[in-house]
Amino acid sequence: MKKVNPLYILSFVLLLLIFVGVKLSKVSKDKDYLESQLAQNESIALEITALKKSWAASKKNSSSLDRLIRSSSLRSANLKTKKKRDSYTISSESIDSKSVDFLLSKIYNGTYMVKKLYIKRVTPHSVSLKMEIAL
Amino acid sequence: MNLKFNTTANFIFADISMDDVNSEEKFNVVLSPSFYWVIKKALPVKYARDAIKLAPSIFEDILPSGTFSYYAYKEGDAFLLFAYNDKEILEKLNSKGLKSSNVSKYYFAQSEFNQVEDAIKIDQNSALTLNNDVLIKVPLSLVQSPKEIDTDNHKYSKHSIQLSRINQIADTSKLNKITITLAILLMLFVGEYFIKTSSFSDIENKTTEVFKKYKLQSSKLQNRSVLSSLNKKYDEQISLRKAFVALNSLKFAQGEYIEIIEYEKDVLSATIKVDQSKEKKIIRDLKMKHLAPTSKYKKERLFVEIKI
Repeated sequence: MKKVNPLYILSFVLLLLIFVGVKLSKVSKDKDYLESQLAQNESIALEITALKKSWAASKKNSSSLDRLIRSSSLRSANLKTKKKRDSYTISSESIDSKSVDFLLSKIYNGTYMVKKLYIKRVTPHSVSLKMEIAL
Repeated sequence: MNLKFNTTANFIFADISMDDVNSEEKFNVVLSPSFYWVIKKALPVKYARDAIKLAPSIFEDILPSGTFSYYAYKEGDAFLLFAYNDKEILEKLNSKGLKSSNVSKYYFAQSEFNQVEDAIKIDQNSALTLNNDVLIKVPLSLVQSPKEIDTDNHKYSKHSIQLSRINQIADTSKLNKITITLAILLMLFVGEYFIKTSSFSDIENKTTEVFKKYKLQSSKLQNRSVLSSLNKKYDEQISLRKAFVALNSLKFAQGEYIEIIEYEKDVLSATIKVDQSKEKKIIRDLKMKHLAPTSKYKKERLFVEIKI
């Protein structure tokens, strides 16, 4: 049997190595891309979940607003409430400054999504109020 | 002239002093002893391939510096071992007009004329003769009644060799080592390729799980849109709170106060009963809280609007 020139074998192996190397490089790039896509999707998912928990917990917000309105600090304020599928409205023709400060501090320190707000001074110690919160 | 061939045969005897070849025919080249070193030696090996492995050490003290190829075959109880320099032979033959592309096979004179009883005349000055079973080149004057080479009826031995410049680049063992190293690297590459390819399905499964677990929309674009919308709402609410606090932290003199605060459609507006001279200060204070208020003064009221 005629002996094959070792340089031919070397060249063949080298060509194969280059071919597989190119393929491997492409596969590596594809894998990196897919992994980065997965990481991005996870990151987006976590952000969406966190934001939804903060701003879109409608049932939780509705009941916590009910509790807030019934709290002893606001009981005397005679606040009117109106619940819709996507909003919760709090209004009062006249509410004292202390009560309105208490209400607004609770609303603004919580994760309530304020859609509309109207506060008008009635007397030096009282205001009229209308506030719509998204549910 | 050492050239011995007739017009129909493709036999050619090549010596260092041969004349130029002006032909494109195919030749079988028989190399003169001037082109190689030969030793006859009994070796403790059975096969020629094992003898070839021992040849470099046997010729070690004989050969000049350079890269040599080796050949061996068994003759009786001993081996005939050959050493030759491919590059030098090819260059010499090429300088004589004998291109390697026109050569079919190369033979050693030793293997072709090992049975001769009389000397063989190769040119006007030289002849070949056997000395202790080794064919040597001697001056023609030292031999008696030499014969001419029978180029027409010459029967070639099976001991042909291939001359190659490759042997000058690196010896075979080095080439083999490089080839083995590259082959190992190739196998590692192939292994890595399959590992990476198989991981694709894992990544796809994980992606599907993420979509299912977090109830994401089917496309990344939709999810980005949802995220953007939520972020916008979040930023608006934070900005609203900052603006509201900024308005409430304004300092007023006796008889000055905020009359109305209203927020709707991303705009927080305030109607402030205040002297017009305070307008610039109020706007400056709000701007210091990183807000961008616009204002107008009318009927003792300052109307401020802050875009959220």
